[in-house]
Amino acid sequence: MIAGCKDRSVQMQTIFQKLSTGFFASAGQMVWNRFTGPGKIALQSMYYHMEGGE
Amino acid sequence: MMNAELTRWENLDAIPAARSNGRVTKPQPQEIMAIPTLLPTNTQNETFGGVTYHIQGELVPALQVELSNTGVYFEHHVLLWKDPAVPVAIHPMKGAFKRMLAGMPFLLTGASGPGRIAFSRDGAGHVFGLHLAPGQGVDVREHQWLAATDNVDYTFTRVKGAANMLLGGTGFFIDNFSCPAREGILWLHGFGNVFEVTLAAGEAIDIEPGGWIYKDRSVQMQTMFQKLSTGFFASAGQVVWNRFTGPGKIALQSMYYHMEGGE
Repeated sequence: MIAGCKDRSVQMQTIFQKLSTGFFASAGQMVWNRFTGPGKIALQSMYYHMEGGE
Repeated sequence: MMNAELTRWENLDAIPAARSNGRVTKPQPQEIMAIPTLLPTNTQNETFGGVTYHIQGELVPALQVELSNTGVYFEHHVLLWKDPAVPVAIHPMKGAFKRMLAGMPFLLTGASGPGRIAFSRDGAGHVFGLHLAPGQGVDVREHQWLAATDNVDYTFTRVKGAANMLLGGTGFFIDNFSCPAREGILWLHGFGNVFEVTLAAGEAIDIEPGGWIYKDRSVQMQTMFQKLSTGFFASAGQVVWNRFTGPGKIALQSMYYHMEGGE
């Protein structure tokens, strides 16, 4: 999770995109969060996975 | 080249003159190795190779690219943010399935404009752009590149042999980037800070094996082993480093980070 915090007015959706190589049916997927305003959002440039967290 | 020459002379001035029989002798400039110098840590509004880019951040810097007609490609896990209108898709690459990253196939993704996209690696460090002229190519240590423009060709080679002795690994990959026809940009990440040095023909520098980031293709690399002896025991182990011999540029990082699944 890269996003640090957001205003309550900002809406968040989780987006899944399948990746295809053309050789295989699927090469996995990418996942990200889409934030839609109005409002502020802060993000961090490094991802740190905490044990026992998400 | 100017910086390297300047550093050589500054270094020469700092060395005390040797006195022998009343005569003062100083080392000749060619006997003094060029000293690596720190690269800039921030870039604003740099336009090259069909894109404009910015590098910001003191601890874990982020690269932001403004895309128009030229796309970029990258490993998918370095994507930090993007405009929703910027599409991301698999970037075709020969031999991708011969290479694994943390047990998963190594896949490249690409993004195209118009729009903005940003990247970062999960490590405290330094991001910098390498502007490649047509015909120019560089060799990059694995896990160091962040992104490249579409006009940069990419392949990789596996280094075996002596490198197997490092950290009990089974070798490592070197990423090869080149611009056969048009100019392009390659963005690299170094852990800690990044220093660059330009070696003259025949000039050499020894770097800890985890320290180098990229080198010009004209720079030769050798792995050197030196046994250490205490005098009391037959051996007290050995030190290993890479020796790089010019002509050409090489960059190194001030922090070594061992990535799982790598070398």
